[in-house]
Amino acid sequence: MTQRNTPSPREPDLGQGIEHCSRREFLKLAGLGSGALAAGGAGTGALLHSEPARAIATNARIVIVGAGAAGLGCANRLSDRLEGAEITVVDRREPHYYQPALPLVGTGVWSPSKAKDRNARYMPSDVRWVKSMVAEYDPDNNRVVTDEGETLDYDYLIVATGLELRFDQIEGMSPELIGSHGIACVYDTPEHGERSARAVQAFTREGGKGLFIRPPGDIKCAGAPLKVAMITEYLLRQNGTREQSELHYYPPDSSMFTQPDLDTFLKAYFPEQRGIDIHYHHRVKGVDAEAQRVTFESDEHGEYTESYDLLHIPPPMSAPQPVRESALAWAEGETDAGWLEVDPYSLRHRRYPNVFGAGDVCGVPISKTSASAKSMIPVVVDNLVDAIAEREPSAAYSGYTSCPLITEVGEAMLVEFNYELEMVPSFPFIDPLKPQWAAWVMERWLLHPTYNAMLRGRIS
Amino acid sequence: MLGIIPYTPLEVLVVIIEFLRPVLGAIAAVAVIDGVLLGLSAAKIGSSFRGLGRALGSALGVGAVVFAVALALLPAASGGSWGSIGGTVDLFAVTGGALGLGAGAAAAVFPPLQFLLGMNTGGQRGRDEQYRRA
Repeated sequence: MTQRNTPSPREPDLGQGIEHCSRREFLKLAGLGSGALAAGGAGTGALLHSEPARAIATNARIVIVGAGAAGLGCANRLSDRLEGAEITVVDRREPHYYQPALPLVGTGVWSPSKAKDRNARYMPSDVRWVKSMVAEYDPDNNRVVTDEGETLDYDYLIVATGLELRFDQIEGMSPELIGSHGIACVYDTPEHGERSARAVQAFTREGGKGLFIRPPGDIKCAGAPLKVAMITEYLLRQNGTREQSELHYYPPDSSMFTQPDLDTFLKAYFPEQRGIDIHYHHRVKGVDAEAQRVTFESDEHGEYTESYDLLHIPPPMSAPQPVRESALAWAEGETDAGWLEVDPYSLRHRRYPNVFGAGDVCGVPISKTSASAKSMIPVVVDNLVDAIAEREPSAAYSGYTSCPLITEVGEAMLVEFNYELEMVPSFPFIDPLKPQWAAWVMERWLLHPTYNAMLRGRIS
Repeated sequence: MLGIIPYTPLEVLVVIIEFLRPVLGAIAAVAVIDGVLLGLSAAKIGSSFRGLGRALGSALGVGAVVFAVALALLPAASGGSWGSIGGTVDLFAVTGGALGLGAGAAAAVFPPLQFLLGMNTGGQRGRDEQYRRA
């Protein structure tokens, strides 16, 4: 980390006592010694936390909004790090979606079951789970209000809501259209993925004109539109319909990807190796599903329409409305999407020091991925524990993010980078700019267990 | 460093457990049975470590077969094909994966093989001794 931007230490005076808990530590060590053989049980899992060295006793009230990857990971780690804290997770959703699988589900390569799980499997037993959604944030009074009218007071707040897909920003588009009229969108839920797969599979059987959109602004998994385009191209080849097909990719600006090395690679790879035409500076204005036509706004051609047989159309994305319209959203700069105003390194809110952010909702200048969430979780938890202990934040998020960019079924590129947009490969011997089976194997077999370990708070 | 992969041995173990979670019960059952059989052989209860060489050889043979089958099928099992294997890293990965499966299979079958071979050898020895006494 080359730079730190630590917020001013305006701590709430909570008067929380702190003591080290050696009995708990002893029990863990004793359990670890006796539990080696029975590694399969849930009890053993509880012994396998790599942290903490010591638990901290506190009566702090911590509210975590969101039970997605970041929220659950934070809840588990805090449950382990703190003794006596009153931790509340607010989220109505009971299903949990393994979203990294959605591009493969949405192209019909994997079944939707690969992306489906349940939050209850990962929710810590000592955490209160409020099954409603936060409708209002009131950070000046340290409370949130749910959509069922319940007021939850907090000493510390973690906002981990994820983001909102803004289909409403595309004229004529709604999530109900996914899977019909050649419309696909692999984002958000396995149901979207399943319906998208029907559209992609029908297209790849017959061939035709496929259009692949990347929406403007920050989106989660910015690699997904690229993956869907490349997997579709692969499926056309597999089905022998590539010759009667044309594929087009539409980025909103002049880049294919944030990371410059990958950007350069893709600008040549798409047209030359995959026969996919790139049309820069295109933004979707609207869709006429019945006519199977899409209206673009283009810097070069102005407004015009294009017909399609398959349209993969992820919408623009923003923070969820309650965050977007609260005092927690960015107050200056690009405020349209309403991302959470956190310090990019400490992930602590820049104006409300007892508020932290984790995951996609954070307004930080890096791709929103599960890998980002994995790296954010320990930083948020460490810094929140520091805040409880009335210390300066000690952990910093490097901006690490990762995209296993699937180029076809059986090959992928493992791209990892940080705030400086430098490649930071976990495996230096794997070329991040070369499609390889080894990277695909990680996507296929390694990432999901790593993700689940992250949810359980057992991995940094 | 915060990367996509686990870095500490404990984290590697955690990820392995998560990977194996769907079959963890079966693996634990095999491990317990293997442990009991090895214990019985070590204590010379119903069997012994006689015929160790044959048991080891047979276990390695099973491991070699599993290695060969895994080497052939791993790319397809991953959803790809041997056509997806390109370059040294991929070759190392597929070979390493197959080696791991082969070694695991050999380790799993060694205790029962040893128990059976030790038992038979012991039984023959017992009959020989009975014959000599008579």
